[in-house]
Amino acid sequence: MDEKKYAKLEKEISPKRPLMRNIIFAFLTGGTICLVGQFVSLFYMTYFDFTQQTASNPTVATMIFFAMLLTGFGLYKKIAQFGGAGSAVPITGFGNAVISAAIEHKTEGYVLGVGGNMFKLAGSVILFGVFSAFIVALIKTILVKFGVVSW
Amino acid sequence: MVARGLLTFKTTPSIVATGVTAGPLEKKSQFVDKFDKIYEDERCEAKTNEHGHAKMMEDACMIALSKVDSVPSDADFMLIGDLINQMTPSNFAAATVGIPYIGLFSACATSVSSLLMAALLTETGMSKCAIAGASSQHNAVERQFRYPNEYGAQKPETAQWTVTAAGVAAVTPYKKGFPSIECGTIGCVIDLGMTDPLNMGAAMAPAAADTLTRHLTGHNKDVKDYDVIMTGDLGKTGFELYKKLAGNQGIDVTKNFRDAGKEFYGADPSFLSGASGAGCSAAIFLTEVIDKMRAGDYKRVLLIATGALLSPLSFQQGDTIPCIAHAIELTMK
Amino acid sequence: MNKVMNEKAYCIKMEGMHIRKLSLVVFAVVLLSGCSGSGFRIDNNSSEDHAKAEEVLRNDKRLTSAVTVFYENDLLTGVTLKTFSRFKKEKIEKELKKKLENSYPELDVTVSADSKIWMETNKLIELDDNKDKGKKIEKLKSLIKEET
Repeated sequence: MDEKKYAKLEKEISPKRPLMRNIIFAFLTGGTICLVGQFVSLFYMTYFDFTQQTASNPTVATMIFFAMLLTGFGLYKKIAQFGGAGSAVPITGFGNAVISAAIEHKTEGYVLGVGGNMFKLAGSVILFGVFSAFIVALIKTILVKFGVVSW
Repeated sequence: MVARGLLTFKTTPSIVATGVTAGPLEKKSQFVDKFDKIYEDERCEAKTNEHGHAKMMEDACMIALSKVDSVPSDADFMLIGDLINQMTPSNFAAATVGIPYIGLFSACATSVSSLLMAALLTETGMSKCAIAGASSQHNAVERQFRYPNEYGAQKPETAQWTVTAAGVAAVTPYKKGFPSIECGTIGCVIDLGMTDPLNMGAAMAPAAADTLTRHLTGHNKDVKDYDVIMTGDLGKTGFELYKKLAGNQGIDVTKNFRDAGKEFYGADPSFLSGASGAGCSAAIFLTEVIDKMRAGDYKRVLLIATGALLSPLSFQQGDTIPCIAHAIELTMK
Repeated sequence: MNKVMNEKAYCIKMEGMHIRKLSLVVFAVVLLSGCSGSGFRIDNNSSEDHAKAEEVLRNDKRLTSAVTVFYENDLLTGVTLKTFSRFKKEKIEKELKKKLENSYPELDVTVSADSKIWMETNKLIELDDNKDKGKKIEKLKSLIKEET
């Protein structure tokens, strides 16, 4: 049996990824997280002197705090198994990546363990986030200079 | 096919005692009643996962020895292994127990490879009592091979769940009334280009099928000779593939085929394709199968443990997953 | 034994139904609450004529609601936008401000599409005594300027 034949057989027998189910569950999970975020944002706008724009900072912090609790109690991975991308894409997914790595490496000490490994998963998110922001800003700057769009 | 890698034990060493310990989540296993000790804590009350891993192994050794009224100083050899880097849990366990020790690594196939080695040592007459076994600890293994434990990543249906368990057997020269090791087959490393670490069953199935055919032709046996042919941890997907591959070789796969990984957690869908890990095959082979042999339900069994020989580094560098399977034949005279 | 099992299964089934009913209610509430909060309100405490402002705001198709307060030298407007107009929030704010400034050259015009401002302006209208209004308007204006 050669590799190609086996790859074909493997594809036939392995269960397919249920794409539609995953998409719908991701939509529901992501939507629910965003709904919670909206309520948190409304809370900060109603009871504190934050505008819609400035409320985003404390909202993000609060959502990460929720993600921290859920991760610590072992619930976030269950939500993720159900929701897939819906739980990975919002800021809570980023928080989960940082916090889970921090919990995991606590046994190696605070400096080399937690400090050194905290951004093991999230580090690439930060790197490529900053990098793509730079590229987008560069393109926009050039377009503005040529007068195609305005700021 | 030239008969290579075949072992035949004329003195038929016996497995006189077994010790199996498991973590708290393994209470969901349908074989839970047969395990000797279940911990209430994932880390077995130790400080780290790895210490808990070592403790589980130590306790399994002590239980196995105590069943034959022995202490560690009665045992001549200790052949154990696990999946963690440089096998530190096994090393630490061996340090505490204090039996002359060789660490073995065949990934999840260590459960059978260690039994084969113990049988060989016994066959030569140099061992009166050898300890053989393997263990795995979910948290320690997952963190090494995949993501941090609490990280939320959606696993596909083909993914398997590493069990927290340790299984140890005490192997002595032939003793009446105990299952004895008659022959075995050392597997070849088979690599059919599978690269997905979340579908290990598919990677391991060809190795299992290859070892099965080599064992049957090499030892001149037929599937009908066995009461059960049990594989280690192929999982639901891998087990189907393995049966298909074996069926293509003209082997009748309709009866007597079982897979420990598929059966470990029963039909619980939250464990996806089933159980895996060195502890999975060790725990099931040394409880379910040995118990049934001693009760007289099984007269002759073939155990094939499969192992995926990958490291986190190798699959990140895009390498394929080479796999191995070792077979051991037990009889009850 | 069998009876207990049956009862257990029934309880689990009922629990599921309870959650389903509850989620239906939550869904309905969310759906209905989306319809509230439209309209155009104007509160005039100054000597200016507010008809021109109302015309500007009502004729803008991109707005779903607008709340305006005239107080002494200030004209404060909080607006909410249609979903897809929100991407051009700042542009719309600027346009409206220009139009209103043309109509009321002597007033200090502030337009914001921020929902906080919309909320607070609504509260201002409902306020009975006019003592604190000036102060509150000043505060809202400083809030808009805040960046972080």
